Amino acid sequence: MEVNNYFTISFPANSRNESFARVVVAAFAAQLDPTLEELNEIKTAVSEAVTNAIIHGYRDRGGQVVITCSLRQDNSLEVIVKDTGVGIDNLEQAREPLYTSRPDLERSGMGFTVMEEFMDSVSIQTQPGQGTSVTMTKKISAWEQGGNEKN
Amino acid sequence: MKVAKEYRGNILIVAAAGELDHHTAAVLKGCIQEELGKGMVRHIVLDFSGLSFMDSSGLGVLLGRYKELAKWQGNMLVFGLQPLVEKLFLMTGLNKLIPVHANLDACLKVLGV
Ligand SMILES: Nc1ncnc2c1ncn2[C@@H]1O[C@H](COP(=O)(O)OP(=O)(O)OP(=O)(O)O)[C@@H](O)[C@H]1O
Ligand SMILES: [Mg+2]
Repeated sequence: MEVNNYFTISFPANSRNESFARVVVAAFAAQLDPTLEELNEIKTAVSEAVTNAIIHGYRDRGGQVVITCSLRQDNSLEVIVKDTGVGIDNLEQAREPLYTSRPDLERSGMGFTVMEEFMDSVSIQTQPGQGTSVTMTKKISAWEQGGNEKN
Repeated sequence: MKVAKEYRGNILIVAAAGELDHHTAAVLKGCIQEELGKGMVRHIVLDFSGLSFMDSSGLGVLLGRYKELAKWQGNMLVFGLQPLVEKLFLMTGLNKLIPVHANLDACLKVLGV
């Protein structure tokens, strides 16, 4: 798929950067004229992936989170959230709704489910001991139809 | 995130405004736990009319408090959900544990006030 525009940012795995990360991606995605609903869904999915990198990937001990975002010719957005943390041993189990490895942190195990629900595709590359990379795509609806929420 | 609390008898009403994520979840948790610790709370009503964002970190905090209330069969209700937050409640089934209502009066009515 041809890429029209892209950016990469890298920031410390600190919870205070969660809102920064979702706002940056949303601001970039605004080029595709998404509805407010689409923007909110993108923000939520980014928040899930970044939070996972911070609390699971880096176990709250810090590291770098890298986000690469691109706009593609078919009016879709691709977001890649990458950490070089602990990785995921059992990916199938991790993706199951309600599965969490950290009930002690009051996690509900719904992060991946939310990402899948709010984005068109979610693919995960992971290697125990090496890190995890979550790639999500979402096609933005065409401007013409409806358009009531477009700005 | 900003949190405000008030009482109607033994019903704790907590208003959360802003964004509820992993970073801010501790604020809401701390506020509710402080009141639960006083031993006067029977039910909790959440006013989320000012809450513009919530992710699964919010689900975790709410479920945690829901479990505390369940120890004495207390109820947790919510009103004023913005579309994104409502979507999250419905999608995850949280609304089955924490019923969603239109306004405070509707919540209080359910609780017999
Ligand atoms: N970046 C990551 N690095 C290592 N493990 C991860 C990563 N992301 C997810 N996981 C693992 O996958 C599990 C499921 O993730 P998911 O986001 O669905 O739930 P959660 O984070 O545990 O809870 P919630 O997102 O509801 O707060 C996590 O408990 C964790 O074990
Ligand atoms: Mg998660």
